[in-house]
Amino acid sequence: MLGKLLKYDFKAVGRIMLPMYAAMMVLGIVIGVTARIETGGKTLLSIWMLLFFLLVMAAVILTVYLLVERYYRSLLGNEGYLNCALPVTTLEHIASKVIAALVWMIFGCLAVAVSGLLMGLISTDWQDLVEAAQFIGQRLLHLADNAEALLLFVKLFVIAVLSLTMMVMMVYAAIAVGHLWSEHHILGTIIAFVAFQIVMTIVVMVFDKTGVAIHFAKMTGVVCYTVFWLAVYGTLTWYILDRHLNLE
Amino acid sequence: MSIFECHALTKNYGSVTALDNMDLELEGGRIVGLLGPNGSGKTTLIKIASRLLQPTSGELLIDGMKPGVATKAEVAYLPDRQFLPEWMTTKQLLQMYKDFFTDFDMDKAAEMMASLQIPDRQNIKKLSKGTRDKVQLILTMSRRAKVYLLDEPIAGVDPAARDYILKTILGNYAEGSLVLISTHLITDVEPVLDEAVFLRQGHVILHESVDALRQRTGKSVNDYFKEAFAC
Repeated sequence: MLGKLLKYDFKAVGRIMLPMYAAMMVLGIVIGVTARIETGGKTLLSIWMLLFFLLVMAAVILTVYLLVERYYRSLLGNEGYLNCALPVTTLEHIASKVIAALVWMIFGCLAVAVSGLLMGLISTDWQDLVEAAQFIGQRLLHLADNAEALLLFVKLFVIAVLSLTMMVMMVYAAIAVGHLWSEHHILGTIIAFVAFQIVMTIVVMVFDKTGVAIHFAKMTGVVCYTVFWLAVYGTLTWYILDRHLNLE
Repeated sequence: MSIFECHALTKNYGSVTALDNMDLELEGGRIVGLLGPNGSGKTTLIKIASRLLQPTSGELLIDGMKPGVATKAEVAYLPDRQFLPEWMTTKQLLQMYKDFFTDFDMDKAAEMMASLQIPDRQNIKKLSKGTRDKVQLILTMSRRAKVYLLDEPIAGVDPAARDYILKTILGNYAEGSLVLISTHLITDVEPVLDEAVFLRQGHVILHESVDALRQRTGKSVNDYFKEAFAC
């Protein structure tokens, strides 16, 4: 059932974000071509670049908005009457929302990266490109030799994804807590969010005092810390949605 | 075994008691009217049965099971409000029901949509409120469910639409299943009911077959209701 939930969560966001990513890439191509053919003042290029920057900003804001809106509206708003009556567990609902959020954030980064790559590829001279490719190829080969560096890269990636997941879960937990108030859901959400930050800071301070904090400098420590909070916020969200759901 | 049972079911919202130690047993193959004034606990009972709410104490069993994933697969629930995702098209909605509910009859739903001339790929956002209500009803009644929970299906619609809704319910519910219709518009639903359950302040004050009630009191259910709930 998780797969089916994901299918509809992706459709809901994809219909807005995919055209935006496409526009970003088209603009990437336009910028590349303009950079190649425009001579003199580069006015046109500046305008395209500004547009691209604005589009990326809009995409970032829209992604965050949609991920919050989808979660709120489909589980806690009127659509909750449909979604919460589906033969699906609460855990699957939460997992679907978090996975979709993560994937859209990663897709967003990829769309920007690909657009940038298109700009570079089109605007750069062929000769330079070949040289650059050779240089990167050599570096990559070197990286493959150096297992330690590769491992570090994988670890950093895992930590980045975990931290992002934890942050998404924290936002979803704050929204769930905010919904416990019969009115003023947004205010409740903000208070919950601030309270979470305070609690996390206090926990870190306590750890600092006990001298355990030293372990947090290590990567496994960071992973444990992130997984711990992910579990806390995940459980809190699950508990509220499963046991204290009260749709208006 | 009853298909729908409540045992000492209680639901409190803070200091307000919506359901108070309620006992109720309903059999399959019946159309039951859940009748009571506003605030008598009708919606709360249906929401607990759909697992949108948790009872404070006591239990509610559907087909012998507490509300959960298994009962949701057997219960077709029509809420008392509009719940269709506006970004979807009618076709996507039908597909979604088919994806999630194994008892959903796609052909039947498509046929009902066509008979009402609701466009296949119409965005829900562009449908009128009345049409959305009909789409919701079609989605619910196209399931071969064991229990249909219909919360105020005819409130807020014109008399012509009321007839259509009642006709759709009568003509489409799966044989042997229980249809529970909550309403305060008794005159309209009375002709289709087998049984009536009167709720007042979270209590069942009467549960009787409609024929027996009419015979015993010499009144229509509506007249009896007015008398029972006279202010």
